[in-house]
Amino acid sequence: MILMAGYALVFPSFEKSRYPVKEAQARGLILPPPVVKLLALEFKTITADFLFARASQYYGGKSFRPGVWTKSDYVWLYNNLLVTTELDPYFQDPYYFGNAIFTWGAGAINDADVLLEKGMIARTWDWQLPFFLGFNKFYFLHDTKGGADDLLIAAKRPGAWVGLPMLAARLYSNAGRTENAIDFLEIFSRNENNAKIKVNYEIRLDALRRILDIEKAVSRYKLKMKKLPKDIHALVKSGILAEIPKDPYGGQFYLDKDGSVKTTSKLVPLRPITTNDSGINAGNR
Amino acid sequence: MNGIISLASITYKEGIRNRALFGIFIMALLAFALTVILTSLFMRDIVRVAASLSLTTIAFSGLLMVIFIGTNLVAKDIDKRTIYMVISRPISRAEYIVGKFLGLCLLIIVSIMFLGIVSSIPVLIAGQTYHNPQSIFSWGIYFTALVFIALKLMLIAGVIIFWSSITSTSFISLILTISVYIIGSTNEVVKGFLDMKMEGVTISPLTSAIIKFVYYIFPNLSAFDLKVQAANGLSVSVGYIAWTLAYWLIYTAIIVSAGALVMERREFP
Repeated sequence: MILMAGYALVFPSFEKSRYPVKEAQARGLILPPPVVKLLALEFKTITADFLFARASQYYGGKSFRPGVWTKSDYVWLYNNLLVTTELDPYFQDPYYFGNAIFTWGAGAINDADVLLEKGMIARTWDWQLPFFLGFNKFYFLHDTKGGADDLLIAAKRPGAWVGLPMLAARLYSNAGRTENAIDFLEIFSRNENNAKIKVNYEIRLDALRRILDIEKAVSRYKLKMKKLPKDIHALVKSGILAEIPKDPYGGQFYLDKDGSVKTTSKLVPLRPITTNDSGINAGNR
Repeated sequence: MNGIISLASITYKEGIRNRALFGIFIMALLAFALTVILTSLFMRDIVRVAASLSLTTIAFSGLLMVIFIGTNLVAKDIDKRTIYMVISRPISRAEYIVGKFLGLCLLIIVSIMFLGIVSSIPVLIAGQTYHNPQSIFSWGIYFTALVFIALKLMLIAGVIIFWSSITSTSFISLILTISVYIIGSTNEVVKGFLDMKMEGVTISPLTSAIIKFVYYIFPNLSAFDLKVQAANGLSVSVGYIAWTLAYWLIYTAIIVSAGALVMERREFP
């Protein structure tokens, strides 16, 4: 009885003393790929599962807000995914996850592309990897031709969306950037079965559609006034835009000096967003 | 021949009745149940994760079974001096070794078949929870991987037989078998480092010779590890299966024969 009471007395302090230690270990060590391969013996797939689960839990634990993330977090996640894909290069999740976290907001497009290119070589049947790569090149790296080339690679793979060659043709012809991005994201969303990720796509689509509306208003303004609008409010004052659309990510839309539409949120959630913010439930999508 | 068969069936029955085997099976069944829960941590490739966890569970339980129950079944006779009862019977020592080996093989086949069938349940459940259009999972390669796990365990059983015929304590043959398992699972990777010829790294001729020696003498157990292929539904060529089978047959025959030869010449105090 005394021992049991002692145990109950000691345990809370013991647990508390573990917190800083656990905090320090949260990210965990990453060994170089050859060493992991050697130590994993025949348990390579389960080691890959473990490393990936650790990365995605760490990512999920630190909710996605700008400022909370440091460069070392991204370096750690990137190295983690590199080792995971070295142990099992055919594992789908690390590539998709890497593409999702290194692109929007993180701005580590090259890291995402390294992973996607690695995945493309191993997963020869997966059309979405070259498709993602094509989008990154077109949208983030402004390499429209490279993006279109990757779309054609994706189009040749089984199950690829039939509209891909058309989209590639549009990219080759250098049509509007935002419109093409919307087309891309509609394909992302259409091929996504995970309800949570689908909602993210829909919010992003919603934001891009609002940007497109403002862009169209800017062009009309230019046509009418023969000059660029001073700021975004000029569009409303001149009666071209009824009101300034709300950024579903919680930021403010504004016009850059060259008249391009920007937002203070940089299309990354400034606070945890609910589906109501973007009003996507209203349209019964 | 009759002697071999009856010895094999005695070894098998002794193994299947072992309490430790029961414990290993319980652990495996719990791991299969856990697989269903763990797959919810993953986003898309859920069937792959379920297959990976299930196959790992089987490989690990099989390894525990062969290494602990196997050494117990073989070395115990010598350890506890019950071998005198056997060698006084009209059965040659070589027949004794082959009989023990076949009994272990039967134990492995039955256990892996049982675990293999149960392991398909978490994989089936995972397939129902999320439809992944980018998955090319196939049961054919999944069960091929299971067969290869069984083959690998039988080869390890041969290694146990070999060490048990040399040493007189079951603990030493256990340690030696685990060493062979670790070397056999890594020698191909180490040889790969040697072949890569990394820039700025010079490997001494002696190290290089040792690595090559280890690569050719010890069994290449990586060849029997098809978990990556099975989890991702990649196909394996008929040629690969045929050559690996031939390698397995010859290696296992050599190591069991070596054990029989040593046993024939061994003096029992």
